[in-house]
Amino acid sequence: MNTIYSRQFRQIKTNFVALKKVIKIMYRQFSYMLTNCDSLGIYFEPLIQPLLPMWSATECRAKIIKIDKQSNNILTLTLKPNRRWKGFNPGQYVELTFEKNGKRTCRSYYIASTTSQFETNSTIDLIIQVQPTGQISTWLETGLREGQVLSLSQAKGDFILQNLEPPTLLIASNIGIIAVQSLLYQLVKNKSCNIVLLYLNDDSDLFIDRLQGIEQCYSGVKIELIDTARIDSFSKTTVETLCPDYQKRKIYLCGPINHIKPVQMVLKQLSVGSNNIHLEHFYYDFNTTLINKNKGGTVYFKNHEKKASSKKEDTILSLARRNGIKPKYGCCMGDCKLCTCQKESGIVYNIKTGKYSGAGQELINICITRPVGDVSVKL
Amino acid sequence: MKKLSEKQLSDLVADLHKIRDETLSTLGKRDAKYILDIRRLQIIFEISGRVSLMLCFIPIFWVIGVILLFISKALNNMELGHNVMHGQYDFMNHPHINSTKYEWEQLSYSDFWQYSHNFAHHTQTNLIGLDADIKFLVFRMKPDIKWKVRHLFQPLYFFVVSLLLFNPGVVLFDIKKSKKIRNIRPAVRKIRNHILKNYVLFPLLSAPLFIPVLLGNLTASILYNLWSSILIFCNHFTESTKFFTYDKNESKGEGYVRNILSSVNITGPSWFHILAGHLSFHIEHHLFPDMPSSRLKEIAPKVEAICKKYEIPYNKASLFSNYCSVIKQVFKCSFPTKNKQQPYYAQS
Repeated sequence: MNTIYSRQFRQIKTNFVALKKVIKIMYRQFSYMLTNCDSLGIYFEPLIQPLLPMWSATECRAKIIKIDKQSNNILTLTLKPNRRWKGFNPGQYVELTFEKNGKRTCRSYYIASTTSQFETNSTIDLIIQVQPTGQISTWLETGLREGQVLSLSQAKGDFILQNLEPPTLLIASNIGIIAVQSLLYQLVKNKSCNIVLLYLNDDSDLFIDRLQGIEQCYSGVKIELIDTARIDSFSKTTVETLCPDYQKRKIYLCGPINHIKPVQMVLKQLSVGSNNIHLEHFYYDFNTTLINKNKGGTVYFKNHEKKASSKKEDTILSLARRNGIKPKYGCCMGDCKLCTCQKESGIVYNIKTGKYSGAGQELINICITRPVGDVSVKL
Repeated sequence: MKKLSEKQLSDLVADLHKIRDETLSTLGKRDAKYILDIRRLQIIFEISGRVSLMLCFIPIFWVIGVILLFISKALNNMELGHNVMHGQYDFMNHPHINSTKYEWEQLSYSDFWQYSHNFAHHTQTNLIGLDADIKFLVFRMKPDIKWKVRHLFQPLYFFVVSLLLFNPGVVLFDIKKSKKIRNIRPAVRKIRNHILKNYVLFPLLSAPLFIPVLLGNLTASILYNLWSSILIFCNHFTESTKFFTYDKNESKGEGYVRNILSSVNITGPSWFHILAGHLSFHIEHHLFPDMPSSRLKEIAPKVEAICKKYEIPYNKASLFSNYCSVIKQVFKCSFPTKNKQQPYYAQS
């Protein structure tokens, strides 16, 4: 009896899902017919949003509860996302959209708060390091105020704990400590206390008090500070002395790319299996003098799931065409805007204006842009 | 005018680029607010127009409804659609109001329109045989174009087209042009949707007033058709504009000169410019297609000064005199006149 019922129930459920899908498509067609928008919400958004800033047809929105300036270059944002936001795993990040002088700009920040904080009062904390050369972070202090509403993405990123049990080696550098301390909290909370944390830090004392508090409370947690000024001296012996049983441990590695590359090399020398390492690196302290527009990069074409690396003078358009993707294009001079598409992440160089883009989401003309490093485009 | 020397042409390019870079670097909040305000206004006009048509048992509401709908169409297609699809407001990175996402109310599907307008028209303005707008217009607007017998009936079908068939014609032309390289289904769906919405759904929603509402929608469409055709004829096909033949070695400066010579500005009050989607600053628009429409008015005097400096004719006139000139051309060119004037590039 039971099985028959469950089978019928499953049948009904699949029918229901199919019906829901059909209704969704019909609704889309209907709203497209009425308003030329994919949903009625998008059409009414310009009218509704000034009245209800937390409401949006497609995006998650969040209210700034508190802006806290902890030190000269560290800013903590406390955000309260709306119900559309689905929560996060420790170690993930969100993309915040700022509206600076009418231009929407995206930046990614790690979530520094714990999941229990989100469960109790549904707020999250983001820690932002103010870069003296940064376009956005220097503006944040004056541009943001408490009570303002921003758009944010769902939590993103694969830098999450794979397994709670085995002993772990955490290596963090600079801002990467935010993601790593989230992992540390989660591990400690789950009473898995065989942890070594190597913290490559410069003079910023971000989290050091908090981390030392954890070290004192839990006997299995060992935290080592390494000065980044001596990053060159980071070698096999450093790892071997500080964490002799590194071969047995799961390794989590997070930080800006210029710090992570040497560490990765060392781990390679130590012949640590690559499936034991979970890695996340990001571009930090983005400096146009350091990158070379002619060096090229790799482009990930999201809708085609293809990856291609560019040669010297390749634009993204020529790269796509060589790899069998047929994007729309017209004049190839950046005038007609037929080839405009959404860049998901990465930095591109604009031939026409001679400028570098930011690292977040934005619209680019692929016929006049060259990839610089890893770029992902929705094409 | 005299043909400009190499040096003058490169100076012209430098001067124009200076204006462009100065203006584009100051884009910001003001322009973003402007286009969002226009969008809000357009939505309000559209909704109130539909509602007021449904109340058309009182005749004055029918008239108000038609006018509101017409204004909404003009804003949606000319100020929003045309300009947003040019990528003028892409600097905002807005999720919906950008050149890849925005879909206008007009019959023509945005993707196809971008191909025939942004590319075929804007990069090949007034080149005989290449410019999509000249090819589309079966008219002979300049003596440069070869005369055929059908041009004798030109005045007759000029009025039919500008009253009724301008926008449907654009659609058919866009589809014809793009069908080899694109899937035409979305374009066909768009036409179906337009007919369903305006001539079935809304009349049915106001059931006892089916016919007046249908007629109201039709009138608004015709008004918009007339309005857009007048503007577009006045922008490129008056007596003062010139047609060109394709030159493979055309330099950037010569391209700018060609665009200046092939466009006309229309003078008028600021509400007129908004309803015309700032197409009335057509010379500036053709020089910098990706310049936000909210800035065209501001750079117009600077461009005019540059034209004066290089002695390039900068054509501007009122809507009325422009349209009279267009009609004169239509009649004149329906007869097999010879081309007395040499093309610009042949002059020494």
